[in-house]
Amino acid sequence: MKKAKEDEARPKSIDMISGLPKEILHKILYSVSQKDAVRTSVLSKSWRNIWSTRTNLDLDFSHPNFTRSKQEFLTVVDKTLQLYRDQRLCLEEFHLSVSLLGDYYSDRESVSLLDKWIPLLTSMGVKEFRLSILSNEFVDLSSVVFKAESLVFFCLKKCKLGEKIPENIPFGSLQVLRLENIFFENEIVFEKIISSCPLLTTMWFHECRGLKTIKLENKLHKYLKHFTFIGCYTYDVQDARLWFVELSKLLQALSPSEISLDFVQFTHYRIAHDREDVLVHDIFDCSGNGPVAVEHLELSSVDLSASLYFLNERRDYGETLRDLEDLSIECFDTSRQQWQPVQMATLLVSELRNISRIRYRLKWSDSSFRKIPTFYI
Amino acid sequence: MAAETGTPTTLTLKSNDDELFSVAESAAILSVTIRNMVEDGCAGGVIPLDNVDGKTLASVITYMNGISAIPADEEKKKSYRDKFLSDKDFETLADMVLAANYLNMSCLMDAVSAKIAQVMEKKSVGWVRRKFGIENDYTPEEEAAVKEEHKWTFEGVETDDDN
Repeated sequence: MKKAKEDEARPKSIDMISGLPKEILHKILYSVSQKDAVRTSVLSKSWRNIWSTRTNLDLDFSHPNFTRSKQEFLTVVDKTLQLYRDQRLCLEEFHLSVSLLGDYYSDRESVSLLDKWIPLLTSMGVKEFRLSILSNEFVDLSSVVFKAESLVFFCLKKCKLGEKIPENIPFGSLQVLRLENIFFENEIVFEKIISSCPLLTTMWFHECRGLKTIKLENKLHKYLKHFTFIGCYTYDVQDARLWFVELSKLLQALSPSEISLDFVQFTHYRIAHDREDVLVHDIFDCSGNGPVAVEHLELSSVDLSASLYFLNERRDYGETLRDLEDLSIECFDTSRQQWQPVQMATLLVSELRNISRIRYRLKWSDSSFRKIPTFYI
Repeated sequence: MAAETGTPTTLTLKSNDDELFSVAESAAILSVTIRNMVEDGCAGGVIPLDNVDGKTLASVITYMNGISAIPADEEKKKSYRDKFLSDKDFETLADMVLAANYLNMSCLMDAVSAKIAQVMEKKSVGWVRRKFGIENDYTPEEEAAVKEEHKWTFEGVETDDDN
């Protein structure tokens, strides 16, 4: 630690940082990236191990955070965790973002490493665990991921869930659940997951299959603020429209501040536009209790003319949307990867086929609902 | 204890080089160290701060006054902090982080630490050494070994002439 001050022969460069107390250095390193933190080990001997006094680890296998091979990434994670465990270093926050895509052998290796790391984190007393896995659809990760305690953020892509679901899922701290391209082999799996997460604020489903019901409960999911359901298949649901109406009712009861729903099912089922209106109406109308406090609604693949007509009409009538101050419409520009405002009139007459995602921004007169969360990444 | 009377109480702080500063108690108690002294009744005379020099203390007091004048609005406080730190050189920042640590002022401590961290972002080892005056006491072999151990951290780093 103190070596740096010993042979200070150069007149100009007085080392003002190496001598700082350890807790300050640790505070400084807390806010840099894992890469920048670990690289400080090359500065001088006294810096050799300072990075590992950080209580947060952020290991992310995505460009540009990690530019080398997956094998190397796995080794880095494994070594780092071993170091923290062997030296009994304090680890409070752990963020792991990993991809299992690759050949069969490396998949198996990744899964077995995850299987080793996850219980280790629990035993090391990690308080905040953020996990993102881009899986391989042939891998069933149930037996691995559902052991993860202290998970706060969980993002799972491309995976099937079904077998080996433990009796109790320890997701009591989970706040954000993002599931993309997940195949649920049976409904119990999904029910079990969401009934184990009382602190959820964000539920995000994208292109999931096998979701026949979504049972949300007023008492259980009282913190729910953001709900997204996009591109999910409901072919196996007998009456998709009814299913959506039921879902809308659940959402009404919970009144999250942000809802994104996908109407692609209706195109498949060729349900007439007026039925869509019923659905949009269902989301807004809370049977005499005033409008649901939705501050942000995204509707994809919906017949725009019908829904715009509906929203306009509603506004004129001033009934369910009586507190609506402003409605703006934005399209997602895939080339620029950002939302662009569009004029309602332009939308109605222009070619709509190129637009894949549209969102409405609703401004309620109640100032408490003005803030539009940044949710789309 | 602190708010018994209507008139604002003023405290006198003394730096380790014997400079005296007057500061409103309401601003000074942003420092948990000072607040504890006030609560323990040591505020009658002069509060000696043995680990802070006059130059740094003057700067910290400017911060105390500035930030406590802003009502509870985290965004405004943050922009004040950013502005306050924007023209400080590293030497001042290092003194300030030590003072904030001693005075137990978490908001200043966090802001200064983050500011120092920002300087290091994506910078090469050579650059950080020069910037902070860190002497490399590794032998070339040792340095190569440490580099090899953490070689993934050397990609995407700003290039440097003496790396």
